[in-house]
Amino acid sequence: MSEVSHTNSGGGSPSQSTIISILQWISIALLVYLLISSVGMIGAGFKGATKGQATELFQFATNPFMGLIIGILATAMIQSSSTVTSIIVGLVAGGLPVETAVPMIMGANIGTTITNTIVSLGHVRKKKEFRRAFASATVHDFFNVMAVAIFLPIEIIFHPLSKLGGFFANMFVGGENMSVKGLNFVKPATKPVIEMFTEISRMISESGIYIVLIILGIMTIFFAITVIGKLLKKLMVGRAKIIMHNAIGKGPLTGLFSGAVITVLVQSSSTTTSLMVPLAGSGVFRLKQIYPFTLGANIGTTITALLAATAISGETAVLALQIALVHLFYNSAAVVFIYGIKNLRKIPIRGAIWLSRIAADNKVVALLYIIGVFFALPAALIFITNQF
Amino acid sequence: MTHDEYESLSTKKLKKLIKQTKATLNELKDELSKRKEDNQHSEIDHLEDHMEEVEHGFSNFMAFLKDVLKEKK
Repeated sequence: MSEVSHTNSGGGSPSQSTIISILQWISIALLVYLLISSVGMIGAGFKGATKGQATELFQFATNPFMGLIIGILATAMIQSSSTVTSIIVGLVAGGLPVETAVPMIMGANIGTTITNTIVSLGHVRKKKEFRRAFASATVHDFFNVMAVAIFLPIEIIFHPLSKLGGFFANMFVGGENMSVKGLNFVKPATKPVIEMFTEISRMISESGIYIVLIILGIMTIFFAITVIGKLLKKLMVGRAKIIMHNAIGKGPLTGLFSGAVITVLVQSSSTTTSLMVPLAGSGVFRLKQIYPFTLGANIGTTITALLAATAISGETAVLALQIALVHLFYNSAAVVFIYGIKNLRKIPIRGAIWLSRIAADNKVVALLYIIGVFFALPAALIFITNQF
Repeated sequence: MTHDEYESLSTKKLKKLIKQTKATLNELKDELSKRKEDNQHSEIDHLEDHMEEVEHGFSNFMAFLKDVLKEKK
């Protein structure tokens, strides 16, 4: 087993690499601070822009399918579910109803699977390799679509995820007991950045100050998450290797746990699931072994929304934490339910194998699949929803 | 060994052969699984290269498009 530290990207002396490493960690700390502040900016901007009328403004998304499509499209376009879920946390803090936000969170789960599917296209020149790579990517798609098909109707009718999220959010930040209200230092810490961006927004447009603040908040989240992801990839590749080496020869639960931990370390489910694609493509790892890793990534990615929720204080803190917890409970429940039941567990694998065989024989199918599932179908559903 | 040759063996010898064969089969299975795991370890050792690959999503997509168009011509 090799344990190589890859914190030294420049190849300089050990002291130089330590300094580079320290600087990278400081940058990450600052970027996390910026991320948290930008969630606060979106919350403040949205609250100001809607003047308490967020429910009316998002009336078009009260149809859960519309919310789902928004989540899919937004995530597929920017290829980062962390960014989208953080924005959703900010919007909920600004007044977006939790029940409107839940399908968006579910949609983000589907949208994020486009990244590893695109990565799998890189194996197109070798038919067998492409078939394996494409199957390892689409098993994630099938699982996430299946999770939505099962949990969205249940959520629409009984709201179990919202209720559970609300219960725990109240316990942590809303109730008298176990409250962390007294420990909330985030608001005063992020206040200077939010005020600075509010001033910048005022300078850009006095009348549209809150809209500009939301746009700046979204841009800052995207920037922070992208750079954090790039830095963590460099810093954590050695740690990820150790985790993966240790998972070899062990059961699917270890794979699941490893996938979750690696995703927390690199702060990106797309990175974890995309990493599995070449491993499967080479034929060294089987689809059955890759599958639990990708599901672990679904759980690990929920850490970003939880982190984003710490940015919110005051009366909407409970709601922000509630939606972040819904993300965690949804992904965990999907894994327990679908992966836990043998017959259900096999469906995504069978679907992925079936699709990859067709796509390997006719590559146009792969192209049509990506365009269809992530863009054309959601767009068509928006059109249909608007007609009725 | 042919069926006739098996018939000439005593039951005790036959049981011994079965035991030996089972042991050899287990050893072979272990060796196969060890080789598979070794391959997996060595693939993970190239994780940095795979990380690089993840970065090239757009170029992958463009190369794929070219390939599809070429195939259709």
